[in-house]
Amino acid sequence: MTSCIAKRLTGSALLALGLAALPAHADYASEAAKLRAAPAKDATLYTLQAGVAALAENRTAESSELFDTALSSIEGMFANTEGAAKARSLWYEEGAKDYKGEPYERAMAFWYRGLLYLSGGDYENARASFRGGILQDAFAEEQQFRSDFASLMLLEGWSNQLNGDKGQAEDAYKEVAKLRPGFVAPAKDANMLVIAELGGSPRKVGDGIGNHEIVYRKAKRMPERTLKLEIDGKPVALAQAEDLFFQASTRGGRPVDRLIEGKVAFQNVAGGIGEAAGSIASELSVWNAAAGGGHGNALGAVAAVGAIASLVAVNVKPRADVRYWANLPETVHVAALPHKGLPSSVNVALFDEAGQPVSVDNVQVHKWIDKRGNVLVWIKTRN
Amino acid sequence: MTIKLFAGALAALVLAGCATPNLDNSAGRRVVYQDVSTTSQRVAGVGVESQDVVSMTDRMIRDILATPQIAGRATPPRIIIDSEYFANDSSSRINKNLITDRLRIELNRAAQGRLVFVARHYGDMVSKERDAKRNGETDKGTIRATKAKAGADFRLGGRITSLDANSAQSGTLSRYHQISFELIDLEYETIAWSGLFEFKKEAQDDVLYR
Repeated sequence: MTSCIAKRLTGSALLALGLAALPAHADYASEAAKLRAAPAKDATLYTLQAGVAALAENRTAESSELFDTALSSIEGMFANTEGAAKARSLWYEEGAKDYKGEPYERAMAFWYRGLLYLSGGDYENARASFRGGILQDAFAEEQQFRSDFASLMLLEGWSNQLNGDKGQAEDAYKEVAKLRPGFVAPAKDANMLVIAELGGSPRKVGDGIGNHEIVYRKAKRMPERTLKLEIDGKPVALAQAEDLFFQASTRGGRPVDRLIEGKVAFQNVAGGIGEAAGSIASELSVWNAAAGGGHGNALGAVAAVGAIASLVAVNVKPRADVRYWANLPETVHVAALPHKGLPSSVNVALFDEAGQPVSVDNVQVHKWIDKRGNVLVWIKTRN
Repeated sequence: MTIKLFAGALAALVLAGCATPNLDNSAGRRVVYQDVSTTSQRVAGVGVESQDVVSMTDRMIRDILATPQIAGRATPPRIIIDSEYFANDSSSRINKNLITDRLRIELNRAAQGRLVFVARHYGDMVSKERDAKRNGETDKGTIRATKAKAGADFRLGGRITSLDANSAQSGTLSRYHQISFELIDLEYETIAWSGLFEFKKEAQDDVLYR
């Protein structure tokens, strides 16, 4: 065993142990630990997860900093980077590239940064964040699902409303109404926004030969789909504003998929050549023995070519990048209403698709009021 | 011939085995100062960056000082330059104080007394000290006592706006920024001076991220 192989195996074993020791959905301390241990190419992924975990513990300063860091990577243009060159090559899987996430994940990074700006009363930068998220969704491949992130448009409208830009708020709400028939724009005197994030993140799973395709699956054992909410004893009706699983699974094919398909095709051809050369050498060796065995060297060469082709085929890595942001919600529900001051009590009851109650241990509820008296209530069922 | 082929196969095996994907083994980089008026070679986006802040404020300073109605008055006018009425209506997240602070400070230095700057953003600080002087908590200081704080003649207003365009197919993103600066007459409500700075940036992400 060469030293480089030994190092790799040791690293894999340590990584496996480390991952096994960490819970799938962790608090801020464990997400921060994951971030510290993460390789550079995964840093943005773990920064995003730590950002949500920090927000779930109401550590808005840390969360803001983490999302700023992640967004500088997401917004930065990656051209001619070493990681990208590796991921394009035959010998590395797509996951060798620096993580930036798929459009729905990038859009959600802007979503959380925007919420943090809203919590601090910075409506202009909140609006800029939500616009940035809408732009990321515009990179989706399927035309009919491009720029359909209605929740970001709704929050852009809300930021405009709080900032006193009535015309722009109305424009944004009109866009939402086009995507969500039946949408009712927030009342003009509304000053409290309630955001409820339910369920778990869409999962990316490798499929096809060598796991070269990404398919999306819903989170396991997180059945909550709707909620009933009471704020200061009064019921508050929330409307579903987003389905992240829908956003993830309607993204359409990616240009990089065609590169990966090329790797698969190369692997098939190389494997075929190896197999054919090996068979030919095997068959001819029988004839060669019967004919007196004078062509042994030539047959050896054919066998060697076959072996090399097989070796090349085995080392082609067509696996698609299945890293995913693990503490995103599945659905987002929103309400806006007038309210004086910070609410003193927020009660949440969760229900599954069939309307049956769902028990969740650690529902996070945070409330912020800014200097103008506008309130943000943020509820997250899974962390 | 056979030996060469086997040697090649062995070399390929060794090379493949030694490939260490997912390992960033770069040696790192020591801290280096970068010129704030240049684009970073390593990190760049289509938003407002340091070189844009420097360029736009430098141009506005030159323009304001070349305007006689502002900088050529016999009595230096009082001006408020802060971010209170300088709005960000763009899709770029930015701390507006980066722009207004540099504009005020560099303009103050370059004006050399031709303009007087009112520190409205420090209003609370001044009010507290004035109260302390007047209620006897502190003495009156050494310079002077005035009946009221300085009123201003002009105040900065403005807006950052942007227009985005993108191509999902090519991964190209382009952002046009238009940043307007205006000095408003605080008595007559007219615009005494206007300046505009605009730029457009375009970039294409690697095919892996499209």
